[in-house]
Formats: sequence, C-alpha cells, structure tokens
Amino acid sequence: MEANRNLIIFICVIVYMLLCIGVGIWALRRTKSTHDFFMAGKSLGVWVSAFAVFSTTLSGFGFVGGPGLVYSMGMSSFWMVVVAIMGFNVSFSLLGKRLRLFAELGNYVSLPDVVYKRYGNNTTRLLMALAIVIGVVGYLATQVLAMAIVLRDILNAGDYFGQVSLVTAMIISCSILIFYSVTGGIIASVYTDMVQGAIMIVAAVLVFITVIFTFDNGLMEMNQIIYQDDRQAIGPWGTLGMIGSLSWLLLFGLGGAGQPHVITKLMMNKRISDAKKILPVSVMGYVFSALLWIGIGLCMRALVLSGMHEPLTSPDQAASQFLQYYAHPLLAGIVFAGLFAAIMSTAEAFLSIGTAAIMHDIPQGIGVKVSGELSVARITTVVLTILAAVFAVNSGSLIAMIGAMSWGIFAAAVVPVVTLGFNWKRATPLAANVAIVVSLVIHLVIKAMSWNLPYRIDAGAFTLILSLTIFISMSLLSAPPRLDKEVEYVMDM
Amino acid sequence: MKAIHGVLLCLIALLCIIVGLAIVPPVQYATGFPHPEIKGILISKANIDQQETTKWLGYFFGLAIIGLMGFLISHGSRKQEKPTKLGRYIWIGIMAYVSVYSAMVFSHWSYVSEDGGAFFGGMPIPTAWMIFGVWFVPLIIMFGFIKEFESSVISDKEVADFKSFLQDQKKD
Repeated sequence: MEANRNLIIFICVIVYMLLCIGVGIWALRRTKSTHDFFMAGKSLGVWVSAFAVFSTTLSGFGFVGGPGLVYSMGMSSFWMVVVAIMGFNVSFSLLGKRLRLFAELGNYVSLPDVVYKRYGNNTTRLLMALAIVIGVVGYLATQVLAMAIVLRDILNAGDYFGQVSLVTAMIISCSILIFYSVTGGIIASVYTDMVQGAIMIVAAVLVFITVIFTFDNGLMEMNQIIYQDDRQAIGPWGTLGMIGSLSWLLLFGLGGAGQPHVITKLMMNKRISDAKKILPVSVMGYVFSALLWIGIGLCMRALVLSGMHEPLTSPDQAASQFLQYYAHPLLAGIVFAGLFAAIMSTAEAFLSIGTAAIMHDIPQGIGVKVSGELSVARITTVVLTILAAVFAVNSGSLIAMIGAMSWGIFAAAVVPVVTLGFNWKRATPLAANVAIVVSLVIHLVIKAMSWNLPYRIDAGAFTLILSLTIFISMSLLSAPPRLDKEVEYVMDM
Repeated sequence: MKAIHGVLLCLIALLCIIVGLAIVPPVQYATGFPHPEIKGILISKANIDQQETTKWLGYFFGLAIIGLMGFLISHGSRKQEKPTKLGRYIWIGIMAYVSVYSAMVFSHWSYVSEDGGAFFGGMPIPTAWMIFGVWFVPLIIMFGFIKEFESSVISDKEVADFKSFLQDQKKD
C-alpha cells in the first residue's frame, strides 16, 4: 500500500470531486427559488445544521492555515482553537434563538435583509452588504489558495501530469467549485458539510493518534524538542507573546458571533428550539476536528527542529507534508478528500453570502430591483470566484493571515450591529452605520499602512473593541429608537 | 449594574490598557523573530512577563476580555430585559474561567523565571492550564444552556405564542 501512497491519495481526491459534482446536480433539483439557493428553505435538521456550523467555522483556514501557524509560531494560534467553546457560547446565547426568530418575520435571503428588518434603515443594510463583500473576497481567497496548494502538492507528488503550477491547480479547483456552487447553492454546501464534518471528526482523531506515534515517546518527546529550541514557543503564548495571543482570544471568541457565513446557518434550521441540540453537537465536532490543527502543527515543528524532516518552503505546507510523509496512505487520502470538502463547502458558504450581498442587498440598499435573481445569482457566483482567485494569487500572504484579516473585518462590522444590536432595543441605526464605517475604515487603513499595534495586537481585535465602544456609546447618548411591533416582540423573547 | 454597562466598562478598560501598552517602554523581541537556522519558524527569547508593568497590563487585558464575553453572554440570556436562571451558570462558568486563566498566567510567571519547567500531560504546566482548563471550563455555560433551555431560552409555549402572534399580524 505504501508503494501506491500517491495513487491512493489521488484516487480519494478524484472520487471526492466527482461526489461534489454529483451533490451539485442533486441539489440543483431542490433549488427552485432564491430562498432555496441562499437559505436552504429553512428546512435543515439538527445534525445538518450543527455540522454546517462547526465545519464552516474551521474550513481551509483551520485545516491548512492552522497547522501552518502552529508550525511557524508555536502555541500562539492555539488561542484561536481553545476559545472555541466560549465562542460558541457567545454565539448561541446571543444569536441562537434571536436570529432564527427574526428569520420567521419574512422571506429573507440574507443577513443584510434581517438587518434592515431590525433597524428599518436602508443605509444600514447597504453598509452591512458592503462589509460582507469586502470580507468575503479576502476569506474566499484563503479557501481558493488553500485548495490550490493542496491540489498542487498532490498532483506533483504523483507526477501524473508533470509539475503543475499553483495557477493551474487554482484553475482546476475553481472550475469544480464554480460548478458545485452555481448548480447547488447553499443546499449543496450544507449537505457536503454533513459528510465532511463526519469525515473530519474521525480523521482528526486518527491523525492525532498518528502524531503521537510519530515520536517514540509521544507528545512528551515532541514538546521537549520544541522546548529545548525555544521554551516560549511551547508556553501558552507561543512566539507571538501574551498580548497578541489574547487579542486572538478576543477576536475568535467574540468575533465568531460576527461571521456571516456561520451565523446565517442559525437561520436555516427547521425548528426554533433546535438551538438546544445544535450547540453541543457543534462544540463537540469543533473540539475533535481541531486536534488536526494543533497536532500536525506541533509535530511538523518538532520534526523540522530535530532534523527528521526538511524545513518547509512555506508554513502552509505543514498539513500536506505531514499527510504525505507520515500518515497511513488511506488515512491521508481520506483527510485530503475531507480537506477538499471543508474548503469547498466553506467557499460555497462565502459565495452564497457574497452573491446575495452583491445581487440582492446592494441593489435593494440603493433602491434598484434586480429581475431574474436566480440566474443573476449564478453569474455573480462565477465572477466572485474569479475575483477571489486573482486576489489569492497576488496576495503573497499566508493563508491563515488572510483568513484572520477577513475574520477581523466581519467581526468588527457584524458583532456590534447584529450580535449585540439584535439583543438590545436601545441600539440605533445611526450608531450601527457609524460602527460599520469606522470598523471598515480603521481596519483597512491599519492593513494598508502596515501599522503595528503594541505587541502585535490583531487589527481585527482592536477595531472590534473600537466599533463596539462607539456603537454602545452612541446608542446610549441617543434617544431610544421606535421599534417595529414584530421586532419588539422578537427582542422581548 | 446592567450587563450592557458592564460590556462598556470592559471595552473602556481594554482601550486604556492598549494605550498603556503603547506608552510603557516596550520589551524587546517579545513578539517573535526569525529562527537563526530554519526559515519559516519564529522564536521568542523574551516575554512581557519580564517587565513588572507590562506583565500586569497583560494580565488585566485578559481579565477584561473574559469580563466582556461574560457580560455579553449574560446580556444575551435575558428575557424581556430580565435575568434568567441561565445567569447563575454563566457567572459560575466565568468565575471558573477567570480562575484557570489566572492559574495559567501565574504559573507562566514562574515558568519564565525558572531554569527548568515542570511538565504535566506531556506539556509545560502553564500550557497544561490552557489546554485542560481554559479550553474546557466554558462547558459549564454550555451545560447550563442545555439544562435551562426551556426556562431561560425558549419554551414550546413561547414558540406557539409567537406563531399565533405572527398570524394575527398577517390578518391585520
């Protein structure tokens, strides 16, 4: 079996890609309206919703970028993982019930639609849609880049088609993504999430066991190697240090409740009371799957430091190199397939919210009515994918870093307006508009000017603190807004 | 004090700490630099724990973040702007979170100052606090969410009332 390692991995990935095409065709038959395309007709069961929530959160950012960050920085990026349970608590206590109740008030297809219902202000809807588009392009780029890197490494390891370039791998993977998304919409995405989530839980546990057995004395030896080289790297703050790590605790703990691709899933479940079961299933799924992130990253760092493995040309190769050289061929094949599933379904979730923002929310915000929404949605999906691919090729950054930037954009713009604003009657439309604008402008200026905050506090965390402060202060200083009767009823529940 | 005021207080504290960190003379090499032999790997020979002012600012930075999350969860768990039974799980969970966070920070101060570090579960003590404590303690809040769901989040009766309210609205 070892002799055919590359062939087995290649076959697993091909089978998975064919499966994606099949799911896309199946979902096409179930997608009859824009509401089905974007919201899955509010018909998802507990398991599908729960798996969609946790697997969308992890995605290529977690499975490719995560191990890369651990390899590069030691324990620092663990903070993105260890805050997960707290983060899910924040999301579910603030939005689990509330968003689903808001979804009952109309036939909404996107988050900005619901934002409009809450605030009754078209500018808020427009600004929210713009924030989503900006975040989506960056985040989608991480998915496209992750997919292309993994595919390139698989194809080049087998040498079936000569040496494949990153751009070629990107064209192949984007073509499949476009077919899958254009045909199936969000229905295709959530059902692949279900399969992918199950694969990832099992695979992550098996990978973690493999990690432990890579060294004779297991975790202890692995951590000792890292400790001998740099004790800070294996301490709780890693090489980034305490403040930077804590800023990730804030950004990923609180910011999780501001990720539109994740929280829109809380509007798609069949029964309002499903949140009770979705929370624990999502948490458990996330905890087990995260073992892959932390296990592979530490293992590759220890292997390279001990001279057992060549230094990686890029930290983003940590996952693919580990799977190709140290995991059982069948396990590697399954994980690679699961990895593609993760990336593909998350990319589809981004395409869904990005497309809705471009062809539905922005026109609504400026008072334009789009006819033939379903066809326009499919064309927009293609354009958005190409845009993200171009951004990915030209970004020159690590996958996890682009992911963290987009996570920050979403968090700073969405958390005040949606996460808090949907639970606080005093929140005003003006405060919401100012908070979104301030968060976008400050975040993008910090990034564009390459400013470093003290001790590398994450720009997203800083703008989140700032936008929340402005949002609450402005609302407290304004007169309480008059609320729609339905909105008031939902906010009292 | 209302939860929203607690949220605002924590946010102001966080902003003040960030300003404080910008003013206090920085600890050199505290955020990592390239490994001398291996490209792509960062190392860090220093930490803010080495300076008295920054180590306390760092500790309070974490406390303010935990407080912020606690007040927000508490705010989200209210019904008709009143606290629910879930509140007690939230505050027990937050107190436990503060405890394990503090244990991790204080053990890290020793970890930095001593020559050798003890290991627990295959990892240094402060890291073990992070993995086995900080990661899993919030399960207390999740447990409360499940246990008090009917009384504190939403009951079948409330869902039924909501649906009939919506129907009445449509008729109007």
